[in-house]
Amino acid sequence: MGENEIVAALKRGDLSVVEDIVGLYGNRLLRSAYLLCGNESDAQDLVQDTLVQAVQSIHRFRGDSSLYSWLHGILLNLSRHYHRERKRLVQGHDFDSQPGESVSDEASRLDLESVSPVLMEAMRKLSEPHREILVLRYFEEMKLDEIARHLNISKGTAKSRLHYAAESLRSLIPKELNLFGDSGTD
Amino acid sequence: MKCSQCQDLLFEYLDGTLPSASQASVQEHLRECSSCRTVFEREKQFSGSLPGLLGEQTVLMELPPQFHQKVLSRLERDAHPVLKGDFSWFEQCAHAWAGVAAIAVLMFSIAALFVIRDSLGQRAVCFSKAAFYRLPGVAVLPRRCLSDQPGYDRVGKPSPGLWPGFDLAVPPSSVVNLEPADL
Repeated sequence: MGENEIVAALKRGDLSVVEDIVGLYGNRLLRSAYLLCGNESDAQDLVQDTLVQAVQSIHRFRGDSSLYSWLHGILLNLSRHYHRERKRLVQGHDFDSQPGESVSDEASRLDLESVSPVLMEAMRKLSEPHREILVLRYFEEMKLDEIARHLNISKGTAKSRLHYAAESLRSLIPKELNLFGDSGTD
Repeated sequence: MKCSQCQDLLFEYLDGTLPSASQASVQEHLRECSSCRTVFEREKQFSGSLPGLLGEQTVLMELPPQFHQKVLSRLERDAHPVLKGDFSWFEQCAHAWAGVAAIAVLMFSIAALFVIRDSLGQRAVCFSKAAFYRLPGVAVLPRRCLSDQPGYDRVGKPSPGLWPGFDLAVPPSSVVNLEPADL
């Protein structure tokens, strides 16, 4: 079933297409949610909330963007709410920079092939706007114009944020891993 | 083209979204300027590596089977707020009966109030100046509005006492059209 048929069915109140949406976009949303929140179980909850909210507010979908892009916009808002709640629950303690080993300390004990935990830990340590823009650019593979529209910011802001986000991520990855083929942070 | 202009356009150059003239200018500048070429190569390598690395983190991740059922259940619950909260059938019945019982207790209490008032022979409910309730064919009015009306004594008590203790009677025609402001 195509995007237009799904949207039309939802606007008619036909919930049988929920299975089609999950089949078409569910896993992609889940992976994006995981990169945004860093926890698989919470990522599933975020996807569930996203789809529920999407079905309930389908009348607001005007078709200016693709259905997936619209769903991702909802996911992004819910993920921001999720981070606010997490911060509130830990009473002002920044969950993104939990105490413990630094990325470098942890990496020094890892094989150079074991980049997964290091990369994910570095992603978690990024600020929320930096993490969001990296996910949009390098996971969702959005162009600069699309990112600006998606985040409702100017193209100039998107460029600058993207530049600083990439620098932050580079600085959090140990040079010896040479993860980005540029010999570390220099 | 200056270096700052070139570096400002790098993302769009990589996206291929620049107008063809600007695309050619950036390309030309990169051919001539080694420092901009270094910045460009660095970004190109980053763009070439990170998508694959992020994909590797998540490629095996999948929603559980029947995930859509969870979504449908949530939608069902949201459509029927009474069912919110994952209560069992028994709990839902218990809550419904508790509601019915609360209404019954409230009605019994109101009835008891009138019985007590009746037995004490005094007004349990005082009407303010603006209190004026009119039901079809029946009025409950402050006593002073009924004083000296046919069927009522000087202080507004019903003469025969339709219901002893209550100022409830078929209203005299002269007070039927009283407005709250008149009271």
